[in-house]
Amino acid sequence: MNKICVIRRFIPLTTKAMKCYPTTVQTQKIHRWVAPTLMELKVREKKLGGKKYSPRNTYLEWNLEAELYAFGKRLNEDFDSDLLLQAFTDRSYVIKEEQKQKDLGIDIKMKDNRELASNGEEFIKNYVQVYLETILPRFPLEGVSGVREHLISEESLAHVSLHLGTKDIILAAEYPVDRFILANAFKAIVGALLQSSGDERAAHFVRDFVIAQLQGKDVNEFWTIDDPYEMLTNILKKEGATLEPRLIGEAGKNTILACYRVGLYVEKKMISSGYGESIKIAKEMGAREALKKIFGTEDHMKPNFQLEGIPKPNTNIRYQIAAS
Amino acid sequence: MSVFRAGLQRITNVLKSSPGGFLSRFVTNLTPVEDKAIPQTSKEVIATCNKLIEQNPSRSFAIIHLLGKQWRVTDGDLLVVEGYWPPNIGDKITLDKVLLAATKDFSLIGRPLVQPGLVTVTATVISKGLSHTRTHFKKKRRKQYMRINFQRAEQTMLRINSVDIASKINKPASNVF
Amino acid sequence: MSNKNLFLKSGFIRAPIQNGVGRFVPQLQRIVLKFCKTYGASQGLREFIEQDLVDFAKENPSVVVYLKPRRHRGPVIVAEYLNGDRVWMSVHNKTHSEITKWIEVLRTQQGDISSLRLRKYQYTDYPSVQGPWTPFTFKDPELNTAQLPDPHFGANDRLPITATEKLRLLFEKQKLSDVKTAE
Repeated sequence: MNKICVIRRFIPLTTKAMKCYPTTVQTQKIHRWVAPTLMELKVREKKLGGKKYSPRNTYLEWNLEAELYAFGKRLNEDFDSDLLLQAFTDRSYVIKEEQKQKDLGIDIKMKDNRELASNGEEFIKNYVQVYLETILPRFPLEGVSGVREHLISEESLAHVSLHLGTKDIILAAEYPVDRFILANAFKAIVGALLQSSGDERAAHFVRDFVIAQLQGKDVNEFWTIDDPYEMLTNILKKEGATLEPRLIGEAGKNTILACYRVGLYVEKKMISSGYGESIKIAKEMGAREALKKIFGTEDHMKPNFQLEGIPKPNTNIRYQIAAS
Repeated sequence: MSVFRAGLQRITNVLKSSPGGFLSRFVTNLTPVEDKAIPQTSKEVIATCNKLIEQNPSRSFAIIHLLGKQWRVTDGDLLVVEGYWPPNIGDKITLDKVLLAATKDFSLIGRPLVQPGLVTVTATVISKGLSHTRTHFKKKRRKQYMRINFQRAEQTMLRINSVDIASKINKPASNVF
Repeated sequence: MSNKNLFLKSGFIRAPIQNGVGRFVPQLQRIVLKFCKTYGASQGLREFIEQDLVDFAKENPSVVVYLKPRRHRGPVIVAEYLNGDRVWMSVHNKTHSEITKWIEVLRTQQGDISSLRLRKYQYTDYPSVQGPWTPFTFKDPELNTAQLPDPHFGANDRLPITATEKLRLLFEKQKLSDVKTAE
C-alpha cells in the first residue's frame, strides 16, 4: 500500500519534468560531413607544402605605374615617381633580377632602396627624438629614447607600412613580404619624400603616421623604472626635501584581497598616493604616481599630434637620471 | 460651474503674475542675460579655472549631443553613429551641442548647453558604410503568421580630433551660429 | 537574434593605424569591375563604365580602377582595402543608379565592415579623465587615527526602529499634547 502511494505521488512530478525538458531541442544544423571534409582538405594542403599565396602583382589586373600614382595621392604627397619606384625596390628583388638577366645575357642597371632607407631611418630617428622632447618637456631622456625605440621599432614601422598598402607594391623576391622588408620600405618612402618634397613635408608625414601611433598609449610603459621610490627620493633630495610615506587607508587586512593605500608626503603635503595588495607595492605605486607628476606624463596628459614644422632640440633642462 | 470659474480665475492669475503677462517669460529668456553682480568667491573660482586652462593643458572631455544621442568624448575617441547623415569621408566637422565639458580639475555644466564658442569639439569622418544584416523575425504560433525582414543601417565612423576649452569662462556668449 | 548566426563575427570599432589622428587616408586602394560586353546582366555596369567611370577615377585619384571584360560571365565588383580586406560583390542585373550607390558605399567604407557585428558603438582609450572612483575617494581621514573598535564608527544606525522606542516616542508626544490641552 505504501509503495503504491509513493508511486502515485511521483507521477505528476515526472510528467511535469517531461514538459520542461522536451526531447527534441532546436539546434543549428551543421552536416556531419563538414568537419571531416575540412580536416581532410587541410591535411592535403599541408602535404603539398602549406597554403600558397599568389602575389597580387602577378594578377592580370595590375598596373604598377597606376598603383604608384595612387599611392602618392592617397597619402596626399607629391613623390618623384622614379624615387618612389626605387623606394619600393628591395635588395632581394635586384639580386634576383640580376641573376635572371645574367642568364639571359642582358644588363639593365636597377637601383635598390638601401640608400633611401638609411636616409629615411636617420631622419625618422632624429625627428621623432626632437618631437618627443618637445611634447614631453619634463620627461627624462631615458624615457624619451624608450618611447622613440618603440615608435621606430621594426614591428611598429612594419605595421604602419602594411596599412599604407605597401605590401602588394613592394618588389621583393618573396611574397608575402616579411616585417623587415615592410619596415625598410617605409623608411625608404620617407627618404624618397625627403628628396622630392623637402624636410617639412617629410616631417609631417612622419608625425602623421609614426607619432600618431602613440594615440591611446601610455608613454610611461616604454621605460622600466626598477626602483621608483629610490628615484623619487633622489630627485627630492636634490631639491632639498624629504619624502614621508604614510599609510592612509587599508581594507581587508590579513586576507588575500587586502588593499592598502599609501600617501607620499613632502612637508606635510600629499604629493601622490598609490594602492597595492601590500604596503610595499602601494608605496611603489605611489612613487610611480609622483614621478609621473614630476615628469608631466600623468594619465590625463593632453596629447599633441599636431606640432607644425620641425621643432628645435633643447636638451638642457632635464633630469639626468642615469648620471645620479 | 463654480469649479470652472475657479479654474478660469487661476489661469488669469498665472497670466497676470509676472509683469508683462504670461508670454513675457519666453521673451525675457531670449534676451541676453543681465550682468548680475557675481559673488566674490565665484569670481575667484572662475579666474582660477581660466588660469588652469591656460597653464595646465590637461586632457579634457565633453558630453556632446549628436543625432539624438549623448556621447562622452575625449581626444582620439571613435564613435559610430547610425542612420542617414550627410557628412562624407574626410570631412572635418565641429560638434557644437556641448552639454558638459570638463578637464582634470573642473567641470562646466551647460544649462542645457555650454555657451557657444567656449568649447570646440572637432572630428573627422573616417568611414561610412553599411552595418551587418540584421534579421527581424516574427512568428505567432498556431496563427499562420510569420514575417521576416532584413535590414542594414548606415554607419558613419567619427574620430574625435580635439576637445578644447577656451579660457574665457563666463564671458558673455557671442552669437557664433 | 542575428548574433546566433555562427558565421558572423562580432567585434569592437577600430580604425587602422589611427586613421584620422594624423591625416585622413582613404581606405579603398583598388577596385576591379568585371563585366561581360554582351550579356544583359552587365547592362547596368556597362552604363556606369560608359558614363561615370572617368569622373569617378578623376575624383578619386587614390583609387586604382581596373576593368576586366570577361566573356559570358556575371558582372562583379571587387574592392580591396588597405587593411587587407577584399569585398566581392555581384552586381547581376543591377541598374546604373544602383551600381553608382553601391560603388559609393564600397568607396567610403574602411574595410569589410558589414561582416562584423559591432558590440559597442564607441571606443575610448581614456575611460576616466578625472580619475575613477574608489572606496577610498571620499573617505573620512579620521578613520586612520581611530582606535577600533570605536562606538562612534561601529554604531549600527541602519536597524529599524524598535517597538519599545516607538511606544516611548508616542508617549512623549502624548505628554506634549496633554500639556497643550491643559493650557
